[in-house]
Amino acid sequence: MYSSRRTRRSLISLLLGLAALLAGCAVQPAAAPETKEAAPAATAAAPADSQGFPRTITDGSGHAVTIAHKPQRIVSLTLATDEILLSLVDTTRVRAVTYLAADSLWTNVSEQAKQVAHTVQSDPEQIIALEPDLVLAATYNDPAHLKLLRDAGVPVVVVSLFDSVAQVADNIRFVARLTGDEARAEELIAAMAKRLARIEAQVAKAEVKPRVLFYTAFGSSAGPGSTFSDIVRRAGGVNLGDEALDGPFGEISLEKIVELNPDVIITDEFAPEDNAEWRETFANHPALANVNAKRNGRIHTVPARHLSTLSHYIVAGVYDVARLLHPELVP
Amino acid sequence: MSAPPDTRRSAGAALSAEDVSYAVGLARLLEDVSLEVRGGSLLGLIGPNGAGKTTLLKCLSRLLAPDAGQVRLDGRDLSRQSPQEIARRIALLPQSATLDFAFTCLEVVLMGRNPHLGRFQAEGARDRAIARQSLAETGTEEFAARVITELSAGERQRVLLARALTQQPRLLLLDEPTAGLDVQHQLQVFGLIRGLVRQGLAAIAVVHDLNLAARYCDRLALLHRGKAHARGTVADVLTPENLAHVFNVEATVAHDPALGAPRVTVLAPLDGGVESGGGTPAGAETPGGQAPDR
Amino acid sequence: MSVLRRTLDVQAPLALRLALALGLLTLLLVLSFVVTMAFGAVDVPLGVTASIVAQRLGLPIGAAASDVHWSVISHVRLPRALTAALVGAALALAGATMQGVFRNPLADPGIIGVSAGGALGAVIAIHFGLRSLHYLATPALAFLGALGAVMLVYLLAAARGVDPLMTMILAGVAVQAFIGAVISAALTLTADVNAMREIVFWLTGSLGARSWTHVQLILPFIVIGSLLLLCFGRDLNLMALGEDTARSMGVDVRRVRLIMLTLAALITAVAVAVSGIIGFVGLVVPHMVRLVVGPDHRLVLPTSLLTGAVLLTWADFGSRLLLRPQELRVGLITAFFGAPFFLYLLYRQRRAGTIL
Repeated sequence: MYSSRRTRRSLISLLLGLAALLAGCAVQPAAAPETKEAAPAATAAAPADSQGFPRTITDGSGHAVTIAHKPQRIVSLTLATDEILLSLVDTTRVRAVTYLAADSLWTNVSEQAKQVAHTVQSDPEQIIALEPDLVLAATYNDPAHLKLLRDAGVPVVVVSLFDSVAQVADNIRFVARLTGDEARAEELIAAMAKRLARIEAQVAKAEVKPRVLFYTAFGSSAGPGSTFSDIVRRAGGVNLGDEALDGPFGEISLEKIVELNPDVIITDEFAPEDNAEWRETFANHPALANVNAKRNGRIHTVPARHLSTLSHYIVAGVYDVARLLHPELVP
Repeated sequence: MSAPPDTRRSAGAALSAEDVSYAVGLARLLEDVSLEVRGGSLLGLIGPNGAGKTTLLKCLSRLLAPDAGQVRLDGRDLSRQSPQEIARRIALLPQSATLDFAFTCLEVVLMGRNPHLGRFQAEGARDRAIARQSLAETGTEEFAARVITELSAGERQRVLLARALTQQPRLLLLDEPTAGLDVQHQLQVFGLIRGLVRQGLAAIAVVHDLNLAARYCDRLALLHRGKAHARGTVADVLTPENLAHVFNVEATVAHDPALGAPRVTVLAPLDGGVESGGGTPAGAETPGGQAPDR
Repeated sequence: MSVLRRTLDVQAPLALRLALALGLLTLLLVLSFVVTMAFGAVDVPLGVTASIVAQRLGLPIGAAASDVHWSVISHVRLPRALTAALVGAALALAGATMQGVFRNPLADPGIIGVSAGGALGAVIAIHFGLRSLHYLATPALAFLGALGAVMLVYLLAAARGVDPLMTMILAGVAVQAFIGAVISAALTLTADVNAMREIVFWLTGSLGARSWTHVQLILPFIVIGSLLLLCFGRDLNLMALGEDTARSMGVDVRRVRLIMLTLAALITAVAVAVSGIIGFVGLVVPHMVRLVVGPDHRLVLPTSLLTGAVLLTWADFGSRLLLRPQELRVGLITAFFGAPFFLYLLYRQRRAGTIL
């Protein structure tokens, strides 16, 4: 599930109409965990390094892209690159981020995103009009849109997004190579590695690894190859979706949950206003009465921006889950 | 633009069919039918339902290719001619033309010029004059600008006849031209056809009503189960014996001095007659019920 | 159906009426092109738009434009507008052809399964993730699907054909229903919300992000297919009088029918491949056109073609602008306006008793 943020965005679009209908529903008392520790300093000025340009880079879709000079008008079309970019370069060099970037539900950089002049979806005209010198896209952006941009002479770089925490570092380095901010990237990566190491050292002391299941309002869960799976492993747990599903995401029935008998269930928080009611109903479903997670009061929610992120903020997700699994070990 | 275009119709042609046979699967719809017609003469095809009248008409117009036998127009074998060539000399008025598009009568009549036009050629002044003349000949000039689907059945049939005439055919094939028309329009349409034949056109008509056939046709061919049971003058063909054999009815034939033609009076169906399932007497059924023929 | 039309029919020669109708429509198309292209995320002055279009199409006239204007018009809006015009033209012409061949006012380009087959091909491309491999994967599969479905309908109709037209319509209905079931199954079975969204989006048609490659791919098919179809206007007229009458006037009805259906299916398949399913254009435009020029197919076919182009150009304009910055699916727009108009036509026709 969490292997692709695009999925989450699609969900939003699909449910946009529904949301309007359900506008009267109860507002979720968004129990946001402490996150200050999770967020690295964000907008440190990038070193003025204009060396090494022009650079030619082969991107994730196999295109060789030449970047003539250190980019000053960057447009980002994915939430992951929004986060990386806003942590890596000064906001003045970012021309546009995605339309969801300023929403704190989705990103960990909503404050910085608000300082960016424009937001985009994927309208090629709008992007061309911004006269970007670098467009960051992902493999899941509509290839026809990207082709139009390339035809119009806009340098488009497709970042191959990833499904594990380890690859985050590679992506930060990749983006940094495009923007010419390698030094800053290494700082970010080092900070991330340090925090991960600390959490992993803490959970290593645990005697049991709780068995965790992720569950969404759509009845789906995260399986092998998903970032959730990796997050749970690093947080000292076992992702039950790994055995129950064949791929990164898929449906799981209520019966299957009873059979799997998870110790902890982490429910979906993609739009608190929308699914608070669902989470309430789900947590009190009679079928779950004998499930460990229910009996021990371990049905929880983790902020979506921490779980679904594909940037260095994923460490916050690891931290949140580790605290839920091993509250005695992780302060 | 000054001289009036030449709209003269060419003289009638002689058509002869020799031993025409046509079968669909095992059903032998026509077996060795021979007949002939020449300019200035109207040949009536009569017979019960399923006798093969419409099939024969289609073979004569090359809509169907006979399995055996030959159809010649002025001595030339039709099977060696292109549909376009044939269409320049033979016009067919099928039984029921359904019209789904709101063409005006003039547009419909002009369509008759198709065999004379090249693929990208539009109708010219001469074509329009010919169409106008056809409308005049059928007394339908007043309908020229009206949408054909708005006309009554009788008016429509006359317009469709005008369309056939616009082909400037030398032979006119008509399949029950008065089916579905009331008495007044039946006489009107046959009167028109008669007038055209008098001017030299050759015509073959499938006629359902024996008395209309007797009154307007020069010669008759009586079809029975795909064979020509009798051929010849009206008096030769319309005999009580022939009618009993083919239609399975008891009938009398008398000369009607008011018409100057024989008149058939059907008295009663023959029970357990000559052959079972032969047919129904003329006039005792709704027109257009010729399904087995088609 | 006005007095005007009747007078024109009777009095004016075909060539004159044709020249008049085509001249007006061409002018309208050019104007629509420039006007619709001037507006969008960036508004470009009309004069600049016109000169960029002219220069892009090889006419060295007009002033120089800024880079942004040049890029937006020349790389985004012009290929998109051309695609819209070509697709609209193809659908409307195919619709007029199908209505003429089947002598059925409800016939649309998809009647023999073309659209359904295209949808199936697209669903396969989306469902199995081929779409992200290459931006032409979906169009290619949609095209193959469309042709495959038509061939299936042909085979079904040819296998048992007392009345080949009726059999073909019925086979088309069956194939469409079957493919509809397969697509529903794909929609229900897929857990990938994205794929689901893509499928639903494809089924409502879009002209977004069409590049010059799309234009180059469809242009030859649609231009050649349409030109060939236009040659058969008079045959269609004669066929309106019934198969026997048409044949007795020298039309090889079976052959003409096969050629026309094949060409109409081909241009529809090409259109569907790049645009998804855009309904009502093929159904409604021929009816609209007949209201003005009458039933003569020599006029109906070319005027439908141009009217379809104009109409879809504006529908796409609406799809870009109505809900900015969201893009409304163009298929929704054509359905939104097309369906009520079609009802109005049906009401009229019930009174008149014919296809206009």
